[in-house]
Amino acid sequence: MDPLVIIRLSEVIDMKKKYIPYTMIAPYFILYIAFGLFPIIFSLAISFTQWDGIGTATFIGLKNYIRTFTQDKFFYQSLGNTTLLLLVNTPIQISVGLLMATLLKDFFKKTRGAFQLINFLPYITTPVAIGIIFQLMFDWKSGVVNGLLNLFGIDSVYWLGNAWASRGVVVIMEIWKGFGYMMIMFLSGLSTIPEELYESSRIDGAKWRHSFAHITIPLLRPIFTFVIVTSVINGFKLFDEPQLLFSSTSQPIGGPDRAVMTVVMRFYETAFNGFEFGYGSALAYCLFIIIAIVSFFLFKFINRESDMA
Amino acid sequence: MKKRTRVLALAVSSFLTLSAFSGCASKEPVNTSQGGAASSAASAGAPSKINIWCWDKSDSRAQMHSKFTEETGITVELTAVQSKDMTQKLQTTLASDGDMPDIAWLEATFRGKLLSLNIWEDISKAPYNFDKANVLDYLIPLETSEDGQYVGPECPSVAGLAYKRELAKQYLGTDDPKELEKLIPDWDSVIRVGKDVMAKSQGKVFMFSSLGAVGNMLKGQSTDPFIDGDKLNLKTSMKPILERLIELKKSGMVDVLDFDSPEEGASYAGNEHIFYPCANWSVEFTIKSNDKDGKNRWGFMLPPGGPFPWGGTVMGVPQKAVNKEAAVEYIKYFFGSEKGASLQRDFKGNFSPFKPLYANADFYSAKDEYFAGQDVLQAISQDILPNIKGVRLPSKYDQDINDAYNLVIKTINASKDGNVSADDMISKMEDDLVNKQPAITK
Repeated sequence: MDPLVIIRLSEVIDMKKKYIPYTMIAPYFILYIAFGLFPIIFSLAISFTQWDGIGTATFIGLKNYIRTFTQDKFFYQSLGNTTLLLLVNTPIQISVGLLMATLLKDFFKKTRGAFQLINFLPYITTPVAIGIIFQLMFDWKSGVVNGLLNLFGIDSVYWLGNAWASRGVVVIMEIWKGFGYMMIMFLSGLSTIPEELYESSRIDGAKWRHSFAHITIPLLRPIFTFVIVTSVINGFKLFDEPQLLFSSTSQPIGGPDRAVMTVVMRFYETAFNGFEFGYGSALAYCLFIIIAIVSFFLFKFINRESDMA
Repeated sequence: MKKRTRVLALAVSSFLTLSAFSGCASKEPVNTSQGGAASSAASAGAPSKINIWCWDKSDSRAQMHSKFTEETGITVELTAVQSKDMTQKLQTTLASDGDMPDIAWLEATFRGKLLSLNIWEDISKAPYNFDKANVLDYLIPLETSEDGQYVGPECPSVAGLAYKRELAKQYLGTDDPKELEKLIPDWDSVIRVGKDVMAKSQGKVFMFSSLGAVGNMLKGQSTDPFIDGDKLNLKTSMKPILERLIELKKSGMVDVLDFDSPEEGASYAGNEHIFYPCANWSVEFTIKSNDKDGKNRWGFMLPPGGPFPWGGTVMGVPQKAVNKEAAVEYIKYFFGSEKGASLQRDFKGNFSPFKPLYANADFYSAKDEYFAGQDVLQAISQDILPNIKGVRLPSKYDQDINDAYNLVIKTINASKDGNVSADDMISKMEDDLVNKQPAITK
């Protein structure tokens, strides 16, 4: 018998043996194709059309992309807002998360579990509840934040009516919500650092701050890479919190002067309020391109740093 | 044993896959008639069920519907959809070819855009033949799309002014509605009287709770279109409204609360604000729900500048609805008959668009203990409704205009003592709208 035929036959027999594992993983791939891959390709296709979601889609080539980059001031404004919020949120979230993780590991060994839970709770709280809580807390007239300011003789601030103040509220919301997640990531990283390193440094006379700077930080590099890259990607996708903070019908979309309108809010508004599915998809793809470019440079930068190290 | 494992693996993975896709299945149409059949499911004697997408799933509505079911055999199923989510929900359902409701509630803010979509039945035409001649005249333009299609009726939503009797007596000298109407017949007199109130209360009592509340009144009292086709008309129509709002802001007699916010809701039970715009639906949905202990605290009067339309929810029957004829039966019953109007009045406190009813002055009449025994229903039907001067026609840009308006209201509210100009606000609105909708021109 031809050796090639023998090889093919053995492959078929081999496949037959392996079809159970293939069957077991098939649901994931089928669901991914249906609910992941298909929408991605479909939205790419409709980004080249003018479509209101109801009638027939008309092919218009690159016009939606040209409109995004040449005509849509809201796109640039929302991109600026998103970047600003991202640049402020991410370092603070990471710093607070790292600090909390280190403090819990080193100084709260007995009560660590309880503090971990408390700090992680905001991350799993539903964004709708967070939106309402912050609306009430930062209300101009009856909010507790202004109440506190008044106690110290400071005038009330129209937090949700002033562009910069509302950005501040979104930053506080994001930090409050996200630092617990960062803390968990860093705690998992800290658990992999051998305790002997700290012991020997203590024997050599190193203080806590020295161990933190020369042992903890360098050995947490992989965790830093992960949290920075995911924070930047998630930061560009910011939507829930600013949307819910200004969700009632009497509030402008994106808050005062559209100060907290993010790119995803702009996309959502265009597609689902403005009935411009084609243009909305183009906006989503523009965001995808931006995230891809930023992630690429971020990876390059982090890898260069680790190569140098 | 091996065979059993294989069968189990296949069964489990098939179950996982199929159960995930089960949500994509669509129901078999019960009655796919395009309207050619003369009789409805109800009239044919077959039990029929309609599904309504709405934001009121209260017990009182269910009780009202049970009376309708007893008479017609049509059962009513309600699906909760927030008014602001209706557009998106309808659109995504259409795009995904999902199950459309038999009736969808189309709220005033979103009505222009929704009516402009060619997805509704014209229920005034055969085979439905809803008699729109019996609908109150002022409502018909609000229920008709730009290409002349009559989509469906709505309950009249008109507004006057509610006030807190105790505060009115203390700061305005009277709590009698007729005397108050004489005291503040227009907005100039509001500013004059408001200054006295501010002085008497040392700035602790405000005439109104929010600029948005006053803005709603002013918008309702004018009829000039904000946009003519695709061309903005804000300088003529919106500028006088903003000028008045800035004047009120400067006077300090309007509090800084955000309109329709939880804080404004809480202010109904407080003693800092005298007047609130009050539509017929506000009595149950706003005043009584926010001021639980408010019996005898409230009064109702004609507002300065006259009564105005506020809100309104059109009943739309989608072309892709399954039980269209039963849906129109429902609409005819509740919006085109005295029996349905009585149920709407008794269970929901709603007014009917059915014109013949208004010849009988006592049809809408009930003493209200929240309003110290005042007959608010009769005041609305006899004093407010006949005095509505006109309406602003819906436009597909209503939602965008409303959003731009909310933006400038924020700016005026945030400004120190109203230190902004109406011209700047108009420019801001125009830029915002042109940016958002490139088809719009200044």
